[in-house]
Amino acid sequence: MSAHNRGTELDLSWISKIQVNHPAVLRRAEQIQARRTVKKEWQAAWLLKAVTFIDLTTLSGDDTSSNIQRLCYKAKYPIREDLLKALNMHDKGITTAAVCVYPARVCDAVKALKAAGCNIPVASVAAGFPAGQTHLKTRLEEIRLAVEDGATEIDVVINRSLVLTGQWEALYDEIRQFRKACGEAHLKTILATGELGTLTNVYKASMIAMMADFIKTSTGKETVNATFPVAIVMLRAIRDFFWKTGNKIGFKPAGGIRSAKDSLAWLSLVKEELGDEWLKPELFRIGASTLLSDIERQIYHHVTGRYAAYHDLPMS
Amino acid sequence: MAATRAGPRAREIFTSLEYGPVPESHACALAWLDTQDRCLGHYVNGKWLKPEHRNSVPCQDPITGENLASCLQAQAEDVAAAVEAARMAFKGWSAHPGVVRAQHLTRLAEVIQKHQRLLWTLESLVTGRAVREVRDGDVQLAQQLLHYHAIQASTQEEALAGWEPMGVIGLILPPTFSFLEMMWRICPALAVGCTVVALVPPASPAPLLLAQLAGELGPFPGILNVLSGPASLVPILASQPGIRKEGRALRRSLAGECAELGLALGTESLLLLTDTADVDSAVEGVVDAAWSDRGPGGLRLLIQESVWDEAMRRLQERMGRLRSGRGLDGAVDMGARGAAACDLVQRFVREAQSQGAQVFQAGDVPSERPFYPPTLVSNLPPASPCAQVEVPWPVVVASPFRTAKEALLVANGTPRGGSASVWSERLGQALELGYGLQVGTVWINAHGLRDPSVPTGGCKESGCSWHGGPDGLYEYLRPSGTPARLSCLSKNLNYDTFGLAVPSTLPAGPEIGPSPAPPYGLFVGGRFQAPGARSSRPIRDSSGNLHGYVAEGGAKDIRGAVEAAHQAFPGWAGQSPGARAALLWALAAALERRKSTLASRLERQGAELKAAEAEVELSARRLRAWGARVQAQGHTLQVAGLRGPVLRLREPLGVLAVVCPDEWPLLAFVSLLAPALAYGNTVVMVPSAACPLLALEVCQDMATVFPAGLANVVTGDRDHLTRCLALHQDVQAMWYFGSAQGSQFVEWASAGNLKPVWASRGCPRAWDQEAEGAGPELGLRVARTKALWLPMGD
Repeated sequence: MSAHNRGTELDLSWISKIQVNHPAVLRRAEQIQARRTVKKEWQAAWLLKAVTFIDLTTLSGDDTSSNIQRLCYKAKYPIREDLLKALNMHDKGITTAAVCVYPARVCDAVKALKAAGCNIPVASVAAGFPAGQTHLKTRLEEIRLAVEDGATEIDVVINRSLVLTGQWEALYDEIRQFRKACGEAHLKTILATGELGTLTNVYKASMIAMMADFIKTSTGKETVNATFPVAIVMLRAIRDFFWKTGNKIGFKPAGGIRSAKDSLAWLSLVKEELGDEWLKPELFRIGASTLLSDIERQIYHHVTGRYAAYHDLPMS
Repeated sequence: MAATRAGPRAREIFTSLEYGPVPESHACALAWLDTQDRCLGHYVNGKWLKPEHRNSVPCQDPITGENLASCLQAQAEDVAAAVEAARMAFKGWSAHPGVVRAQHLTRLAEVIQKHQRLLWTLESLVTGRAVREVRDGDVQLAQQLLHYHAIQASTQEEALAGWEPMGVIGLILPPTFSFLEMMWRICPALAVGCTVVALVPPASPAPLLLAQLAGELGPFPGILNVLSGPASLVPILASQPGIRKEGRALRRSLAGECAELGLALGTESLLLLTDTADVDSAVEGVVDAAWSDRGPGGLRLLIQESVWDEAMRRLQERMGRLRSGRGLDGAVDMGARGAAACDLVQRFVREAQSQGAQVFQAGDVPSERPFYPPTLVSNLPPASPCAQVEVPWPVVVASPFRTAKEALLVANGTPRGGSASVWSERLGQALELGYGLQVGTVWINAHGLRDPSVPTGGCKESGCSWHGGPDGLYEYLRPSGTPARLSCLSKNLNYDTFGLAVPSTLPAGPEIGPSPAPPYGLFVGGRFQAPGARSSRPIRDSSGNLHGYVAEGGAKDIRGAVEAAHQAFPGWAGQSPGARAALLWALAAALERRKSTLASRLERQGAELKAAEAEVELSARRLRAWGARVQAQGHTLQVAGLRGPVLRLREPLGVLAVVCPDEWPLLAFVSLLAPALAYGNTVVMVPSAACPLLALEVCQDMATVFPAGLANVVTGDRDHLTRCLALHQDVQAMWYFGSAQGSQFVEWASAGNLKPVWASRGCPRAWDQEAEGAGPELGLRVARTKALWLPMGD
């Protein structure tokens, strides 16, 4: 990732007048999926690009070192080598952007990736993930421990109660403390948009969180996760923030993105709302676990003209 | 592993992440054209009609210029054949119960569903519009229209009792309109039992395909006939007897013909962006309106000054991401519209630039003709000629406003009144603007939504015809038992001199009893005034004796009366229906108090005393009835796919000019006055020429009961006053009950501001019958509809 966002002073005037019209955003979200699509080589190239944006994720209670190891190898070799060769893309060093695990599994991931001989960053969720309903002190401590274990990216959840009660200064202060606890590690702030109530709250929380760093839609554990309407609002907030400060803030949708077609829609959404300069792993990530295998299946079909059997592609 | 199919470009695309072509195969459209040997004729009476010795016009791909087919141009005899087929089909089609028609329309919808790919690729191929919009928008809506109108047809006998289909409908489509616009009109027409002859511009095969699909359904081949032909055929279609027309610029040439006319004109839309709006979403509204191949025309954009910079920045940023290309590409926002549209917009933009406007263009657009980039014009001086004309596709003309009040003044300051959207997060402000805009459709925080159950139409020079919803059905219906309209065209009527001069009137001796002297003067602005000409005309009773003198009104008096009516209009229209009803009831009570005077005056005009008293009583009843009826106007519609209501409002027309019939001097006057006032109009009335004294008696009561200017009554020479009113640009609608010649003149003259006209063409009405004197027809004509869309969500 690029240089850290050093943050900005809290300025509540940026969020005081904001209006988000819910039905209009819903219509835009419907349109954007119908108006842009890519086919043939373009589809293959876009899908490979999407692979490089993936934070390959496992966040289960039954994660152990063995499936973490499998995940890390899949991160290093996301697409079968012969398929890449057929596309003449085998020398591009295509890997996923990061692997994303629980704090307790960070050590396993770091070790596995080292063994695989690559420098894919390890991201750890932290700060009372997924609900954020623990004491600030333990949340901060959790971040420090994950960083100590070798995580270079930290995905924290915000305290939703602060948003719902409008305590924007308190929210800002918390995120600043997370930022500080991260040290040199990158911070991604999960807004858990499914629990913020309104799109206007999503915009406001995005603005406050950006005064700290990277923003991410959801934990994957809420009932509603990454949706286009929410993303449109967050991307517009990112653009407004860029216009105000000149800082480019990254964006990460997570939760519910399972099909290759979805991932293409997400890429074109970012391209439409923010432009090509946001389409790089430093500024755009997709949090997903099963997406990668569907992308690989589509690439297989593109290269061979056949649909793959389950056993044709290595599991992650 | 099987052979690889990957192209060489993946590496480059991986770096650039550009969009690629997403071609939609149009093989089926070409195959369909092949079935016609690439030569399209007309579709008449369930068969292709390909007469010999006709000129043909090439049908070209507007983008590549490739010749797709040749289209035969219809001639007069082809038109006659189509009209004859439609007339024959009408007998059977209209005689069937609504349920049968409903089944047929439903089957047509199913056929369209089965062949939708053919329809959308053909339409996109030939028009150059983005296939996405045709596929996801037009074709789906076409099916919904058929389903909706099938339901209307099935309940016609109960819901539309007392109405009958008009007959054969002549539909004239201008070149900018798509096949969907045709569907909006033919669906209600077919549903109520009319049959259709559509004249489409040359080289538009989609309507022909629709006609073929409908024709091949079987039992009713002649209900939809499509001819392709040049605009010069319009008068020929129009002159076929027994036809009702739709289309542009026919008003003048059709004056006095037997045709009923419904006009739907204008393509420009309007968007009001206030400072409380979600600006990003409003920008998407602009894209929907002008740059997504949805609407046919351009957009006038009004931005509140305090958010001008922000809105313009976002708009320009957004424009940069628009893509234009071949219509059959699945990932473009805009296609191309052919050379004519391209020339039009080039001329407009050049002229705007030369008048000092700033022009911003952006987007990923092929540089060659006929593509034209999305264009944003700002700083166009309001007084420049360019600011007056209709904004062409794909141009947005932006101008600032300071307050909501000013926004309304600017927005209503054009002769067009099609559709508009209001972007504001403040409910009160949004409704204030939505109610205040003089347009047919208002969307709050959305743009360009349409649904079969919501009436769509316009006001002012955008025409006064409606399609969709209940209003759309009445366009093709007339009250049962209306005598067939015969052509009353008088070739030697001189429009320049009709009613120009007033024959001078001389004193005819003193007034002779028995009743007291009638009030003297013109009733304008709430009081009796001396006429500008300072002369009078004698009125005689049934035995030929002088009954009294009335003032001789002229052009200046009409001007004064219209002014007075305009001054009174905002206050009166702003009153609640209840308050308006109360005043009508007060007038009714006053008439009853004056019953003996009125009856004796009617008696002197030859009525029996009993009949005279009955006329007075019935007049009072009419006033009360309309007062009560107006309370229940307007209602809420629920639209599929939209959360939130659509309000169907009934709004007053404005200043309504009424020329009363000679007969029933009291009852006809009151029967026309009552609905007009009840719905919030103010009126200028010319009372019965034979006996204006009854109306003047009523004026005495109106002077005490009504606010000044509400109803103005001008007596004098009927033709002269008719001429003054019909040529007045600021009269919003006109009703004429009188001679055929007068009707013809009124229809001709109303082309000036395209005011809706209701002319009797010399046919008498039975004013004492409920259906003709106070029927729903009056209620329809006395107000206009506005659809107000209120999407909800948080």
